[in-house]
Amino acid sequence: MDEFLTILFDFLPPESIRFVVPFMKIIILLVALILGAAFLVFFERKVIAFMHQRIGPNRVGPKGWFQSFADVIKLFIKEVIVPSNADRFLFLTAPLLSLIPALAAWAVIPLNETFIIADIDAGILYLLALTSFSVYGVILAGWASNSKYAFLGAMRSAAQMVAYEIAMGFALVGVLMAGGSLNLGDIVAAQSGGILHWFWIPLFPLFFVYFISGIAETNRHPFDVAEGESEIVAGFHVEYSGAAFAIFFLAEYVNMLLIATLTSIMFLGGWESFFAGSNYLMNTSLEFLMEPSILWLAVKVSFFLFTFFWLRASFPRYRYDQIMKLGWKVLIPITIIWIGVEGVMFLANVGPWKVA
Amino acid sequence: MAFIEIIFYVFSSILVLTSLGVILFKNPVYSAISLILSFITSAALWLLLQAEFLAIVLILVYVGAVMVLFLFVVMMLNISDVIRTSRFNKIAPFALFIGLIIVGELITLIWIRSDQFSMTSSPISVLDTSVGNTTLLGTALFTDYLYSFEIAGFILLLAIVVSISLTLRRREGLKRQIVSEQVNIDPTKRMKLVDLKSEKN
Repeated sequence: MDEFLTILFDFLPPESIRFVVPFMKIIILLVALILGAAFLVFFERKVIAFMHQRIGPNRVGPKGWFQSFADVIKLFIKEVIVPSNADRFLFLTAPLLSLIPALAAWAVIPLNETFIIADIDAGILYLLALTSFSVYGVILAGWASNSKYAFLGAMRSAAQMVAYEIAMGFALVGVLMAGGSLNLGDIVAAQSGGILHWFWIPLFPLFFVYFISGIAETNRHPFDVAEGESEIVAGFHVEYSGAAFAIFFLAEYVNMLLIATLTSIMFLGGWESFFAGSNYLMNTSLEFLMEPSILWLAVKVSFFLFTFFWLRASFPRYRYDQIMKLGWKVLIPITIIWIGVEGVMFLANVGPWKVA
Repeated sequence: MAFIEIIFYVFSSILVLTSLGVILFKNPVYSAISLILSFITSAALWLLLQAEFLAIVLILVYVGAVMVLFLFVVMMLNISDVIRTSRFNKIAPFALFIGLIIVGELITLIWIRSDQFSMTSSPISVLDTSVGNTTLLGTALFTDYLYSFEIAGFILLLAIVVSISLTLRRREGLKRQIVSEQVNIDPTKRMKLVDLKSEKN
């Protein structure tokens, strides 16, 4: 990717290439994410409709494919109403505070061997730091709205995110132990060699915990008490309309993409092929299936996104105390125990990883 | 002026301004937000010194956890501005005194060590840069300083246990959900099938 962009901008003075190439990468990723989020909404509505035995959106564009664009245009031409006695400055910054960390986290995420904006050593730590940021958008939105419903939503969300972040962090500790690095590219490299070498087998409990806490972190069903439309109307964004609401919506879907991508990268080998290292495909016409590619990552990410919607259509919402119980008394102990188990596996030399 | 120095001065001035904001804003929520911003800017300054582990942990711990709880509490308070300013005025001389002492100490420290200080390089950058400083710190903590590290961790754990046990209260007659009982319930004891006369025809 870097070489391609360098060739593309060859006409520029060489000093400016250093700035132009990362900038172009950011633009490409940003456009991909926003389009991805738009089609994700359509995907979600179609999946849910299928599970409800409905047709779902089918009016705008061929088979309804452009439904999200119609929604976005509708939201952007609506008025942004600032409630009376609301804190105007924070009310308008809160949506940005939830979108910016969601987008900034993508800086350290590799999409294949070469496409990464910032290849830093402490990638996982950076991700943890940024995901802990996103709670401020929700809290400040709830407080600045000057509405009891929004405030309740913000309080619930804050407690929930703080609780599940710990489980998430511990799951990542397991991954970095297994991968021997904090860099996401190195973690994928450590999983090379087919489906049996991926971390989801030795780290299965952590994989499970990570994905569940990911759902809770993004405030998706069945952990969406922050929105809880049957109890507190729409939770933290009840007072938001128009473009400000659209930004919250975008942030939620970008975060879902982020969690799905991270789960694929850390537990399902990222862009590694399902068939890498298989003896059956070697030297046949299907050998190309063994190559690592961004398409494999896309398949894995789509599966996790589908799981998000599948869970949404299948489960009733958790009660608040049950969420807390699940987070603190089930998920966190599981991760702590499994990190211990992993340490023992290291000592006994069991498992696919090498002792550094 | 080098690019890195410009960045240093920009971040330092933001840091000073936000720190002033913490004590000068009348709205406690805005104070908390300035504090968050000052943490983030000091993390950026640490990044300039190539201490990326410390910088990210500062954000992770203080911004991600401590300040969330801070904001949580501050939002639920409903102190009027008047009370807050009068209280501030009352403790201002004392706070000023302590602040002066801290500034004095810092100046002495910098004075003594002035030959070793530099704006954009740190002892960390002198060390081996082929491995990240996360690895360096980890190795140091788990080899040379293992006992002090473990003792510190144990004291923190103790503090958590003590503070929870101090605030734990059991109320009488509190209804709790016991999942195992719910799962093990015998349906025949819960439900009674009744034959109604009107059904027999």
